[in-house]
Order: sequence, then C-alpha cells, then structure tokens
Amino acid sequence: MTRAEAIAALRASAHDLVPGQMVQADAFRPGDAPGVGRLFLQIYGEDYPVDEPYVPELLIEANRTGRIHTLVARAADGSIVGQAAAYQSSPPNRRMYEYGQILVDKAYRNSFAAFRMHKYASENMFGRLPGVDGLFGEAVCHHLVTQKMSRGVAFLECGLEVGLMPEAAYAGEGVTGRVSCLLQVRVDHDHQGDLFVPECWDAQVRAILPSWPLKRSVKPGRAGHAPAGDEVTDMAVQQFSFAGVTRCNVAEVGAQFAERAAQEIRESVALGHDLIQFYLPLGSPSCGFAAEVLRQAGCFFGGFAPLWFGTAGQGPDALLAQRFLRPVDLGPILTQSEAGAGVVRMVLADMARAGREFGAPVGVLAEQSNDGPSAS
Amino acid sequence: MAVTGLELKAMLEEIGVKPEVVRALDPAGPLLKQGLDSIDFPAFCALVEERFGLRLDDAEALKLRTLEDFTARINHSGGKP
Repeated sequence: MTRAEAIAALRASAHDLVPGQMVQADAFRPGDAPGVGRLFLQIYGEDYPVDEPYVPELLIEANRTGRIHTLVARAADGSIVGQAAAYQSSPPNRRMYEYGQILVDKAYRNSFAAFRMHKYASENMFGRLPGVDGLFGEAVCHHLVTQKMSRGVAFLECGLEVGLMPEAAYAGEGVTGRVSCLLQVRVDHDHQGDLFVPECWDAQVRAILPSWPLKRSVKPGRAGHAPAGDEVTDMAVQQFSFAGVTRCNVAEVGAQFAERAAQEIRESVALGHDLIQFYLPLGSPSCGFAAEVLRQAGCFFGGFAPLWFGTAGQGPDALLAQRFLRPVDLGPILTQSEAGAGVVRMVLADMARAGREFGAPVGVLAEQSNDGPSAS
Repeated sequence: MAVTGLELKAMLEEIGVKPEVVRALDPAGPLLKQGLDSIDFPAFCALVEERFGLRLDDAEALKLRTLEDFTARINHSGGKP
C-alpha cells in the first residue's frame, strides 16, 4: 500500500472515539497500526514527514525489525487513544534512538493516557530495548511537562536547540516566537572512545561531560590540528522544510570542511531557513579545527551529545554547533532543573558572543517568567 | 484499616513532590491549586492504585480533587490492606 492509498483508507474509515473509556498502556500489536495511523492523521494531517505511521504494513515491519518501538494507549473497546515511540532518527548511531511522537487523541486530552504511556515506557522500555544503547529527547521549552517527565527517567540535559521549531507547530498553545528544545540524553550502554574537546568550547563540554559516567580518553582538540590534505569531509545533510532547519551530521572532518560548511550555510539561507545545526565528531583529532571554523562562521555552542555517532565515523560523541541564518524571535525558554538552566545559560551566552564577535544573527528572547530554576 | 491524610502526604513525597509543598498542603484544598502539577497528579493516582489495589478510571480520578477526597475514596473501598 502506498502512503497516498493508506491515507485515503484512513480518511474513509475516520471516526470519533467513544470518550471516557478506561485506558491502558501496552506494547504495540500489528492490529494497532490503523489506529496509530488515525492518530497521526488527526494530529498532523497528511504532513507528517515519514511514511511509517500512515502505512500499516510499514509500521508493523518497522516494529518487527526494531527500527521503531511503538507503545500505545488502548481503550477498553480496543481503540488506540494514544501512542509514543522510540525510533531511529537523525543520529548516525543506529543504536541511539529518539523517544517522542507522544500523541493523544483529542477526546482523551483530559485523561491520564500520556502519563500511563510514560509509566509504561519507564517500566518496560527504557534500558530494556534490544539494540538500543541510548535514547534522546527534544523537550520543548515553552512548558515544563516534557522536561520533568524526561528528567525523572534519567534523560539528562546536555544541549539547547535554540529556536528549533516554528511557532506554527504549537498553534493554540499561546506561544509566540520560535520554540527552543532542550536536548536530553539517557545512556544505557556506553562505548569507550576518544574525546577531543575543542579549545573554543572547552568549558561548555567539560561542564556537561560529568552528567553520565562515560568512559572517555579526554584530550585537547586543538584549533590548529587541521586534517591532512587528502582527508575528505563526510557530511550528511537533512533539510527540515516545515521547521526551517538544516541539520548536518559531520562524520569525518576533511581538509575542505570550511568550504563545505560555508556552502551549507549559503544554501540554507537561499532555502529561507532560520537555523543550521552541525553535529561534529568529538572522536576526531580535527574536531577542534572544525569547531573553530564554525565559530568564526558565526556558530555558537549548542550541546554535547553522547553516543550521537557511536561507531559511525569518528564518534562516539558529538558537539552541536548552531547558527541562526537571520534574526528570529524566540518563545520563552523555561527550565525545570538547575542542570537545564545551566545549559541554557551557557548556550545563550555563547549565542550573544557570536552576535557581538561576528555579527551573526541571534534569537531575541521574549520577556518570560519561570516557576522553575531561572535560565536568565 | 483506615488510611490517614498523613500517610497520603508521605506518598506525595514518594512521587517527588517537594517536602515544603507537601507540608503546606491543606487536606481540604484542591491539590492542583497547591503545587501539584499535571505530572504529579496522575503519578499520585497511579501510586494510590498500586498501594491500595484500586482501579481508578481517569474520569473518576479527576473528580478526586483534594487529599480528603482521596482519603474518603480509599477508605470507602476498604482502606489499606
């Protein structure tokens, strides 16, 4: 079945759920696939950027092979009222999964469906999934619910994706400006490796590194350590058109890195994007060189992402550097923990530095109040 | 055996509600207006279910607004084992 055929079938069978039923979280079963598709169609329309949620046989196959681990909230009559998933996404490390896609049917928004799924995941998935060494989440910062749930199950704050999502993605939630996301990572099975700490972001990396008991051989990542002339940059580029974001995973730093990075920045500007992100391989002796190239191109520190590369390229870990491509307004950045507030302070301070030193565009933060630890 | 408000307060601390919030709780006041949030509340309901062998459907749980409501509901079903 094609995506178009699957969506047509979902539309033909569209129906409202019987509200108020008892709900239980459970592992995905093949018969749940159409209910998951119905949820995605209800919440994202036809625009969700991957096919699996809409096409039952693809979702069933992805769950069978372990590329996706879906869990559902099932009503007493068998209807699917919610879903969440751990799944392979941006990281080149196929054993680092994203946890997210937490969706609840509109008839069950005032139920505990989301909580029941979270409890199920914490008791049955986190730390127990075969082939999964770590999980990451991107917790929105205009409210604290996701951050709090994530921290409670050992997803630790390690980066801030400033202005990652457009305001339109959260229509109806009262947020103005682009929404930032706190990067939170849970490490279950570590892999020993080298960690070349870039000189220019040494303090930031070393502040976050002790969050997990990682086995690393920590060395200085000198800006002057340029790659050899015959080394080739290996950069995989993803374009997120709706979000206006370009994400570059740099598995290998080559001699032409500066030109490649500048080209991606130019092309992202031409696409009308707001933000570009670079994930650099901290296992590469030339990471310090690449970081300095990006710093001079107006990038600022975004985070330290353990196991992002794993055994792919020069992993295991990544440094996130990011740059706005034009000035943007930012929604409030609220943080639930002191550790999260510390990360936010570091990232915003470095963003301001990039503006001062290199005239790079920056995000302008709205006035905000925060019940939790302050980020300002 | 009847459950007491004090025992329920201890359970709130178990799910991570700050001790100062728990200490200041008025048993007759709505929990969600005294510092519990949308994560604490279902977590507390889940612990009540587990500890007292109850099954609260979501609609019923959302009608239990105060600590006194929870005490009455638990004791009505037989209290603690």
